[in-house]
Amino acid sequence: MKQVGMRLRHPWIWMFVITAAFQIFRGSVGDAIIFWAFVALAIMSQFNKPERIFIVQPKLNRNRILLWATLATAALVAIPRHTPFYGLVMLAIGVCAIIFNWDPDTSAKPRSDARIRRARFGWAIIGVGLCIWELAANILGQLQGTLTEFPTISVLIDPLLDYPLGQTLFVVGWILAGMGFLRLWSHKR
Amino acid sequence: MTRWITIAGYLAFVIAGVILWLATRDRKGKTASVAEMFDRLLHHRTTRIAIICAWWWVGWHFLVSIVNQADF
Repeated sequence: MKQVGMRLRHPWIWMFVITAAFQIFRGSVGDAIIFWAFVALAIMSQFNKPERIFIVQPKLNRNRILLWATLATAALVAIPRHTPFYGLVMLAIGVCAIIFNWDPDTSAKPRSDARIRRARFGWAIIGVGLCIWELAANILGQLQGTLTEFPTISVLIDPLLDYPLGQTLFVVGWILAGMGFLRLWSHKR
Repeated sequence: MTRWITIAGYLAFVIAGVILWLATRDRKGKTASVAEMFDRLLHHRTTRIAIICAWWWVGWHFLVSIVNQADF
């Protein structure tokens, strides 16, 4: 029982629970469902269910990564956004990203040294601060019934994506960020 | 007025992020670089899956969901 509690203590599970609850407050049922699905995925990972998806984890070389990233970028730029087909492509990207990253931890977690702790602290301050600032804008905007006086990041960025150049820049940035977050070019884990 | 204060807040966080990124690019510095930090964070599967989920949702939110637009 103690071990179950330890596994459920993972901070990302609770971040997703809080975000899912907030999506209900926002009145966004679709996003609430998505974040509850994230909670389920994080719990499944914590309990090793399934332990692995591939018997032998496929290795993606740089050429294949570049090919798939280019194809995904082309699709996300060419297909009109807010359409069901666009949603299907995005779902396929998300499912593939999770399946290919479901490999279990292969060795003991390295100890966190002071340099890593300082970096985590710095980025956490910026990340959490930005989230709180946006949350405050969202709540104040909802209370006052205005999107212009307390704009959220979505309200500011979304109109730019109506232009082909804006959509292209966003898609390229999003794909590159994903590749960067996953350290796809370094093959380190 | 509140609109510009709100936007200035976002910009302040973005600038702080850029400054922190630039200041920590040296791998011999007192604070780990973003790359080093992610190398360590991604070691654990749940963190890795959670970061993928968060990244994916940003794309979904802007490209698939319909966001309320203000009158500009």
